[in-house]
Amino acid sequence: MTTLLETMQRLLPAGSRLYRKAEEPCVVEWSLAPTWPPDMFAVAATLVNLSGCYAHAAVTGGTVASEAASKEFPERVARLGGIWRAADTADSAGLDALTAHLQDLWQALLTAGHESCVGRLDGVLPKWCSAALELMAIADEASSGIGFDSESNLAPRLLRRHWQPKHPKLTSESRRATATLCDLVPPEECCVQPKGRTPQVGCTIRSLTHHLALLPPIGEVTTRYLVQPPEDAVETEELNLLIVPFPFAVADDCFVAHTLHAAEHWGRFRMGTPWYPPGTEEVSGASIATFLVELIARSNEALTKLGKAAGVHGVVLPELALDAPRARLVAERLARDTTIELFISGVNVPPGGSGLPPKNAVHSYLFVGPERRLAFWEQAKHHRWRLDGAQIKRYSLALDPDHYWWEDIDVANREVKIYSFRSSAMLTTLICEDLARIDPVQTVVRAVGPNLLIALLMDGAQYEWRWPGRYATVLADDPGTSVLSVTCFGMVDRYVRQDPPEARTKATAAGEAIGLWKDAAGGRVVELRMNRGDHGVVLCLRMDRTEERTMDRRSDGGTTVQIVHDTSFSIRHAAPA
Amino acid sequence: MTAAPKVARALVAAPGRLTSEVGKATFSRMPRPVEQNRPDGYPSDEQFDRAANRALEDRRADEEKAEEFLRQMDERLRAHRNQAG
Repeated sequence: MTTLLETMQRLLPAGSRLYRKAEEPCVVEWSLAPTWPPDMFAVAATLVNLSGCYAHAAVTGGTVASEAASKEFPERVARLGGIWRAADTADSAGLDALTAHLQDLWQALLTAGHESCVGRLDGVLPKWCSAALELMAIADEASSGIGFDSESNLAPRLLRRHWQPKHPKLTSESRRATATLCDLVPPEECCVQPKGRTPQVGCTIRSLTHHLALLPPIGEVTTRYLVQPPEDAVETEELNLLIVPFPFAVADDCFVAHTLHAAEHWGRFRMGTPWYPPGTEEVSGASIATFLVELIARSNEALTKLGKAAGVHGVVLPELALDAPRARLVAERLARDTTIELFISGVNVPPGGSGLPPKNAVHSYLFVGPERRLAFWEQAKHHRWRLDGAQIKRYSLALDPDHYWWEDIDVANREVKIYSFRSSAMLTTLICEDLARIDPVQTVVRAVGPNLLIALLMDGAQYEWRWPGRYATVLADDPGTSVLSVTCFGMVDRYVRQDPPEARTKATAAGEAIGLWKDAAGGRVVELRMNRGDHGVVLCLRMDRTEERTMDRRSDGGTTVQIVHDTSFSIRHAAPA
Repeated sequence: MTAAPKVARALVAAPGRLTSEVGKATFSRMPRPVEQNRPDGYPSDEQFDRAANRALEDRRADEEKAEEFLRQMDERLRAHRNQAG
C-alpha cells in the first residue's frame, strides 16, 4: 500500500522547502507547505487524481453540505490565491492569513500520512481529500496569468527559464526545466504547465483548474512551455492567418518506396520533395520568400478593403511544404520584409549522421520585439502515416496497393511545444496523423487546453465530414480548443479526382477545401475553400473573451480567450500568368 | 508560382501521370527575389542575443521581488508551524 506520506516524499525528494539558509543544517523535511504554487499544485493534484476524490458529490454537488460549502469555497480560494499571486510583502495581514491556512491544510495531509491514497469514497469525504482539493484550488488561483506574464507578480520568476532563444540548443538541464513549472517536484514524477482552456463538459481533474495542468512525467512525451518577454506581446483582438497550401502540385514520384518486405505485404516510403523552386537552397528559399512576401502584401490590400485595420498576422504552410534550411531562410526574410508575428511550416528534416531516418516536423517562428527576433521551435511528428490500398488508389500514387506502406521517419523523443501567443493565448501544433491518434499527445493537449491548435496535414480535401473534422470536434468540446487543419493543394487535387459530381459542382462554385476551421465549444465548422488558380486563403479570426467555470464553481472572471471564425476568403498572387 | 493554373490543368488532363518536373514547374514563373530597396540586412545572431538579454534584464528586479516574497512565505510558514507545535 502506498501511503500519502510516501507519495508526498516521492514527489518532493529534496523536501518541501525551496530555500535554505547557508548556515542551516542540511535536513530534508516535509513539514512545511511548499511556497511555489506549481509545486504545491503538483502534490495536491496528484493526491486528488490518485484518490479520484474530484468526482465525489462534495465537490461536484448533490449534497446539502456541498451546496452550503460551495458558496464560500470559491470566494475563500480566490482571495487566498490572489494574496499569493500578488507576492506583496507589504500586505502582512493577508500574508499571515494565507500562510496559516496553507500550513493548516498541509498539516491535514501529514496527519493522514499513514493512510492509503486510494480507496472507496463512500459517505463523507475524508478530511485529507478536502485539504488536497483546497490546496490544489488555491495554488491554481495563485497561478492565474503565470504562463503569460500578465498581472501575476510571480510570473517574472519563470521568464528566464522558459524564454525560447533564437537557437534552441537547450542544455540537458534547461530541456528538463522547461518541461515543468515546478522547482521541487522533478519532471520524472509529474509535470505542471500553464493552461489555456477549462473543459466545460465531463467530470475529470481537468475540469477543476483554470490555470495549471497536471501532466504525465517526461519520457513518453515531454511538454515544453515557451514564452516571449512581455514587452513583445501584441495586443489586438484580431488574428488574420494566411494559409498557403503549398505545394500546389504533388507528382507521382513524390512518394518513393524505400524498403519492401514483400512476403509480409508491407514496406516503407519516403517523401521525395521535388516541389521546391529550382536553384540552390539560397536561391530556392529566396524564391519562396519573395512569393510569400508579395502574397502577404496582396492579402493586406484585400483586408484593408474589408475594413480590417490589421493585416496578416501569421503565415501557415502545410506538412512537409519546405525543408528546414528553406524554412529558416523564409522566416528571416519574413522577419525583415513584413510585419507578421508568426510563421509555421511543415518541414522535412534530413536524417542525421547516426543512420536514423529523416524527421517530419513543424517549424514555428515568432517574430518578437522591435528587433523582430526569431523565437523558434521544432516539433517532430509522433506517428507514422500508414498508406493502405484504398488511399493509394484514391491519391493515384505509384506504390503497390496490395501492400501497406509506412512513412519512414524517426518518431522518437516525442515533444509537444506550447507557446504563449500574445498576452493571454497559447498555441500548439500537430502533424497529420498525430491529430487522429489518442496517445500520447492528446492526453497532453487535453490537459493544457491550448486556445488554438494548428494541424498541418498532407491529406485530401478538408470536407467537414472527413477525419480531421471528427477529431477537431472532440478537441473543441474538451478541452475547448479551436482547431485549424491545413493541407496542400497538390494532395487535394489528387483526392478530388474521384469526388462525386455534386462535390465537384460545389468546388467549381466555392473552391477546393484546403483547410478546415472548427470553433471551440460547440461553435461552427467552416471549410476553407481556395479557388483553383489562387494561391492561398486568408482566415480572419477573433480573439473573444469568455467566462469559464471549474467544477467547484470557481469563475475565471471572463478572462479566457476563445478564438472564433470571423471570415475567410481565397487570395491570388498579384501577377498571375 | 504563377504557373499554378497551368499545373492544375495538367493534373486534370493527365491524372496519375505526373512527374516531378510538373512539380518543379509550379515555381518556374515565380518572381525572382528583388534585393534592391530592401531595408538593412537582417540582424546578426549577436544582435538578437543582446536584444533578448536586454528584455530579460529589464525584468530582473521583478524576478528578485518574487523570490523575496517566497522567502518571506517560507519564514511565516515556519513560524506558524512552530506556533502550532
